[in-house]
Amino acid sequence: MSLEQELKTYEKEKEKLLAEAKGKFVLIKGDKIIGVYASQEDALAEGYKRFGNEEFLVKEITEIEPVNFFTRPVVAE
Amino acid sequence: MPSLTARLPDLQRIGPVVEVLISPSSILKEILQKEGKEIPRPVLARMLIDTGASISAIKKGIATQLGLKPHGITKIATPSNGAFQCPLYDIDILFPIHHMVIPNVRVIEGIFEGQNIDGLIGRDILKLGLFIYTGYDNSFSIAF
Repeated sequence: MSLEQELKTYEKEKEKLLAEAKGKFVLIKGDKIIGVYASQEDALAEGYKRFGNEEFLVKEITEIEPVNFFTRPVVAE
Repeated sequence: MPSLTARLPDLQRIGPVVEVLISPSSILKEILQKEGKEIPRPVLARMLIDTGASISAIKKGIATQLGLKPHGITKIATPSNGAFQCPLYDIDILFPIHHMVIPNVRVIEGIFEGQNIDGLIGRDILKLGLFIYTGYDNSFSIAF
């Protein structure tokens, strides 16, 4: 899956991130945490500035991951 | 507040469908412009306004067509699947005739075979505006 390495990095650093920056947005590339930002837009802008249109992860630092619901099928069964 | 009102012959069967242009997010367009790179042309898409979708979705293939890479991950759940991780893409949505732009929307890619739509406008977008479904008149309005 895309961003697998970035997710692993987030999970590894999650406790520290929650303690220091809950509710903010983290920018991760590979196994590196690039920075923490007040808004998603700031984190995305920094990601594009550094890496261009490559894969990178911008994620809100939250204790419980929200689930988004769809009442119709949106993925292959 | 700019708005769009549409009247369809059979709103119940077709659903509240709008034609929009999907382009890379404003943030990416700005970066591409600064770097003198070409900005991919927007893609015309038929989107169903779906109050049953907590976030928006685009048909698989549109992200590739726009040269987008995923920059987020979210958990989604559907009636037939448990919760699972799904990549997120950042786009702008433009309602061409009405000049309404929803910038920097995070969407998942979905499969909408046989549904005659290219994606869903979910409650992440609806939370920014007003949506009125007038069943007896076969019409609906959306405003931002």
